[in-house]
Amino acid sequence: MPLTRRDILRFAGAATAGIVFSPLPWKMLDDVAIWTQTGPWIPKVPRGPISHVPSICSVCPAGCPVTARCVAGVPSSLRAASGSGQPLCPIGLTGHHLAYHPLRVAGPCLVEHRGEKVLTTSLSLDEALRRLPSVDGDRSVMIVDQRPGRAISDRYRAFVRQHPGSFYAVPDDDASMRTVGYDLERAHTILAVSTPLLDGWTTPARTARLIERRSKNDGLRILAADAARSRTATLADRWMPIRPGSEAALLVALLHLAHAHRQPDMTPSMRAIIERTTPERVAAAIGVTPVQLRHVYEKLTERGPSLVVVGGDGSNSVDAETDRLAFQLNRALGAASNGAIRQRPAIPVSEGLRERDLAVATPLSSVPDASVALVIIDGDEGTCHLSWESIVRTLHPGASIVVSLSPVLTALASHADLIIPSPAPFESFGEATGDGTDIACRYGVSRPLHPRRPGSVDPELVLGHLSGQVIEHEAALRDKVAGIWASRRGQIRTPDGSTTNLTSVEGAGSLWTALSEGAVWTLEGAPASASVRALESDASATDRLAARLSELAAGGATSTIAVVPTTWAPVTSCSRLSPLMTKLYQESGLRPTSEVAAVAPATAHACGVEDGAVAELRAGEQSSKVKVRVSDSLAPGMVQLSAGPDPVGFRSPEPPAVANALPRGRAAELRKS
Amino acid sequence: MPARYGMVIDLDRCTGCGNCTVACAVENNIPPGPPGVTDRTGITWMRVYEADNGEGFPETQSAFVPVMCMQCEEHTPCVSVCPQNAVEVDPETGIVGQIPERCLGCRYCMAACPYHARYFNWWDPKWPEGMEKTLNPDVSPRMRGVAEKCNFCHGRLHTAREKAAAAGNAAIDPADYVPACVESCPTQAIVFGDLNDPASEVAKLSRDERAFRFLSRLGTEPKVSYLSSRAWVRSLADRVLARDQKEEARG
Amino acid sequence: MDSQWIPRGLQRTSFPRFLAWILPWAGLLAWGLFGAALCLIEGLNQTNMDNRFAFGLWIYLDLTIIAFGAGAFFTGFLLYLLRREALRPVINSAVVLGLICYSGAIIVLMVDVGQPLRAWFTFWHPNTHSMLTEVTFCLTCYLTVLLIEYVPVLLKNRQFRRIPKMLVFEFELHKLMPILAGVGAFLSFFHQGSLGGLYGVMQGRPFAFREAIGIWPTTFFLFILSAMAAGPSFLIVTTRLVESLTKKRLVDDRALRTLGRISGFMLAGYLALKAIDTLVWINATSPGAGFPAYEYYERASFGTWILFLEIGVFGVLPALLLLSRHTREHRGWLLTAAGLVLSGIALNRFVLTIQTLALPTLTFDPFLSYVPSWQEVATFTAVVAYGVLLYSLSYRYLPLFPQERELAQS
Repeated sequence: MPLTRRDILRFAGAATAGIVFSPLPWKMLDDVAIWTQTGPWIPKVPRGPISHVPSICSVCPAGCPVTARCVAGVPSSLRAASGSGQPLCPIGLTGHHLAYHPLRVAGPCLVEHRGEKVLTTSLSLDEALRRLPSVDGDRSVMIVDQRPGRAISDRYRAFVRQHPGSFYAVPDDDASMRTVGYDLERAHTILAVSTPLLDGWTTPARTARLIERRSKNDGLRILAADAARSRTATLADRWMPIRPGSEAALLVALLHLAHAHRQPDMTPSMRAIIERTTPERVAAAIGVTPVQLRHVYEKLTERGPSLVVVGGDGSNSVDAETDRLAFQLNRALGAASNGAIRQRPAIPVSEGLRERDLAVATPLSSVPDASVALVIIDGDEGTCHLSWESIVRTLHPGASIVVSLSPVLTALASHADLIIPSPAPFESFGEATGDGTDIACRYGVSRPLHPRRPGSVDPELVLGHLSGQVIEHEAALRDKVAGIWASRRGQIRTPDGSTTNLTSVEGAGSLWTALSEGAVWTLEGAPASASVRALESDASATDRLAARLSELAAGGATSTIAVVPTTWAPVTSCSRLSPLMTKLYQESGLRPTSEVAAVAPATAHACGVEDGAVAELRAGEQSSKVKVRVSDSLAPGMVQLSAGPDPVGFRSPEPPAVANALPRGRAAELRKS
Repeated sequence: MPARYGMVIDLDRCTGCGNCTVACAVENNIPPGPPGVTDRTGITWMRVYEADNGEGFPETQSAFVPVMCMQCEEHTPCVSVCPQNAVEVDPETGIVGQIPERCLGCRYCMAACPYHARYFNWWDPKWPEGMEKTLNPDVSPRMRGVAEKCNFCHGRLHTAREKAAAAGNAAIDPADYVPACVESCPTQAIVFGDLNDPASEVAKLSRDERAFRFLSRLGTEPKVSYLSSRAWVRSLADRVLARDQKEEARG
Repeated sequence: MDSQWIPRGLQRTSFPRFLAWILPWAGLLAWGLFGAALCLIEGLNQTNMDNRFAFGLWIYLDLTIIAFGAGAFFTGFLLYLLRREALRPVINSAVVLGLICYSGAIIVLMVDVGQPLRAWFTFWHPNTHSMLTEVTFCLTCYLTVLLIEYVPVLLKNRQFRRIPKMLVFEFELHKLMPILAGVGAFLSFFHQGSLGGLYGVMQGRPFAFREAIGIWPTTFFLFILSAMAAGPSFLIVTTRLVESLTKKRLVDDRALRTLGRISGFMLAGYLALKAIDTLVWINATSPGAGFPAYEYYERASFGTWILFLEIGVFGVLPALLLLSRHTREHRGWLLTAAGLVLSGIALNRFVLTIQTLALPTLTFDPFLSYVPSWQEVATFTAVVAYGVLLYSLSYRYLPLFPQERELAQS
């Protein structure tokens, strides 16, 4: 039978109708549905047994207890250890991401700067170590330790002690004011002067306790004196707007009201300054009325213990003189005698080392200019921001090399010549040495949670190459723990919140076991006596203070705009943030990025800039492009900038914005660009 | 009786630290924002806004307001508009669930949501190399082109149910089901629980005299309430109230 | 060159001139397709839409062109069902315009949704409570109707008419026309309404939300009426535009005047209802939801002028012009009035889509603005270019205007 065209058409038509009754089209539809649901390019979630590992967070020195929820041994989240009552901060909650930071350095590498670009060339560990010059009589070394008190810190100090002319440098704050701790829990009145008291200045747990006490109306009063309406000013019971840069004047006026000039141990010049700084004389320069100053002083004396906290946000935004004034004011308010401020004890040194064989820490600013040939910047970040300028000035003009041990190509590491990366947080045993505002010193150990990247090198190995004595990282930590155990002082606090005296811990081995399972050793300090040497004013500091006060009284800065940095304290020192931090910065605007410059409507008008416009901010020789944000809540005549490493830089190693380098109150110009 | 999960957020305790936002992103596998992301294209199931009293310097006062899906109970705006049933209210929990696998990305639900609590995946999710190993195994990452929002950490509810089932219990232990934002809040500003349980803290607090809900006059019966002892903060609830408060303040 | 294809007895420009007209549009189409491809391949991050502006240029223009395309169903309804024979000269053109508007809108929608491959889920898991489901069903069905209605127009081409079977087919189709017109009218009433309902049901957006009559918000009915006003006006404007481009008379004035009168009548009805609706909304609906209505008009660019412009200049004025015989019979005034009607409807759609999303709801929300990205503009340009091309080809090769020959002879 011959096939006709009609037959073919019929067959096709019937087949089409029949196919609907077959599974084929429905299966295809289903497949399309499935395919649209999970593209092969969408990451798959990990699978495996789930475990909960107790540890501490070693991203910053505070060492909050955490429980890591691990899937197949890899942490998928960090949570506050339940029962510890110690919450985490956003940086801690994402600490397990840092091992996968986009700017992670894969292994030893040379760093080159071509214009704006930072290029790296990898090399073997042997080659990298060979590039380190030998340290001898002519060539001195400076080891920069941003987190003093760790096991490696002791080793650094021993090495420097054996090499005269070398320096063991720590951030200035760590050398001076951060040796004093504040008993916030007992204070009833706290005056925060340009301090992010409620915004990461101290641990989340201590901040939360302040909020808790306040919501229970237990009489705690928080006063904020801040040029800008910072987070703390927003949350405080009372905000006193002061003129930018007038912190010292405010403190001296309060010292005057406290009759501090009658104290016997005051130097004559200091006494003279305090005596003549009456509220009436400086109120205008501070931008307040004499009545307001007296009112603040009354509040401070009304219900003690009272505390005054200044700066300490790690951004070096308040200078050493202001710190000293705050110490003196606290003393005058009785904080030293009632224990509201205390001198924090030092963590005992590692076993096998003696304190007298270790070098004394030098504040970074005290290291002479052009004096070192080799700078080693330890990989752990602390609580203070260090600028590249503060390091580069110490370099010998001839052949000098800067070696960074940072695992991530950010901040200082992006300026170094050579990087020998340490392991990232939670890749090896990490250490926490305590929050710099606490009255107690702490020591805790975080366990390795991630598989370690092959290219990372323990800092002990780098130091061992220089000193000829190599020690394993874990052995160094065990020595430290043994040293602590041998001191027989302090307590250990387990993750569930219970405490045990160190004397009842059986041996260094048991202490190590406890610490590696999330316990923390703490030792409370004694009341800070008048003899905190580092906080004593010297003659030159007093002169500088007098000069600044008269400059302020003359009202020099009225015609320009003053720069007021505001800080989320932890990020001023921590340049390594989880990429997820875009949630707080770019994606919600909860934290302004450092390119945002906030000004009052009047200031914007005077400078001819509009909300959302890109403008040029110039301060001294520095200038930067900023995005203008007009805010009703700011006083005219200032520009509020966000200090700290820029989380915009997740993908670029470029150093932080100008705000960090600009001292508080510095005059600036803002123009349309 | 089925549960009615809800939250009460104490705005007098919120410091705007951002823990909730970040913990939520970690828990729910929300990817980091790609280059060029803004607060208008990002994904923050829990977003903290800063609200102020509208006065200029120095009378400004402000408060931080965490906003997430309010799990509207009546006329749930996003449910009725979705053309293909990708949004559903679970009658057992009262939780408004989003089914990203069924969503076609028309964004009608986003236009309909009065709280702007819905987010669109403008990009495919991307994590820096290796970071996908840290993802939460209980939550699938979503691909681009679909809407998503807070579901009171559905993965955690699931885990709590599995635990209860393993122990032979029909009901979950409330202590086992705590959303990530609640757990991470350092000041314990967020209280979560079953509003149908009159003894629960959340039910008590939601009846507190300091309690209010945002845009309650829209009639959508949100299950998230807020607390504040400050009158101006409570007046943020809607625009008619805000206007009355302003007029009162000015006399 | 292509004279074999040109309808007998009609004057068409030379092929090279036609090509010169077509090519720029084809270029625009290519550029637009490139923009659309970027959106499909890279994702909607190529647009300037965001979580607040979940809808943007595309949805606004979709709503507008669908209202303009209403001429097809409404003319068909009047001609085939109500027997208004005066409209026969424009029916073919109306069908082509309707097809262009509806298919264009659907093409843009496919780029607009985040997961076009899942678009069929609406038929698979339909939510019968959703206005968008109603829109999707009606749009797809009506597009099918339009395609069928286009076939007889297409079959009028000279080459097709040579095939006897095609002639039979065309004849049979013509018998179907009243049924199709009825179905089309029914579907169109619904989707024009549900497009308005899309916004009217948004309980969380008091600027758009309206009280319900039965199960439909008032915007449902307002959209139907306004689309019925816009459709005829769009026919007037396009016919005049084609006439001026081709320098020919294509339709006698009577048909256009009839269209004008219908448009004016519909517009007047629409305005009366809209006025009542607006008053109820300002005084009851909006404040009842916690939103003082005057606040909507305190925002930067959206003052009350927008309301007055829409109702006054683009509403009452053209309604008067179209209802008065004197002005309606003046060609210039008729065209002006039709243009104003279209502007008013476009403004109405703009207010409902863009202004609704720009206005904040939470008290601490900012007012936001939005500017479309070039990819969005390009994608839309592609649709406009596609429309121009399809219309140009139809005009050249099909007898779109039955009166053309006799008007040319007279």
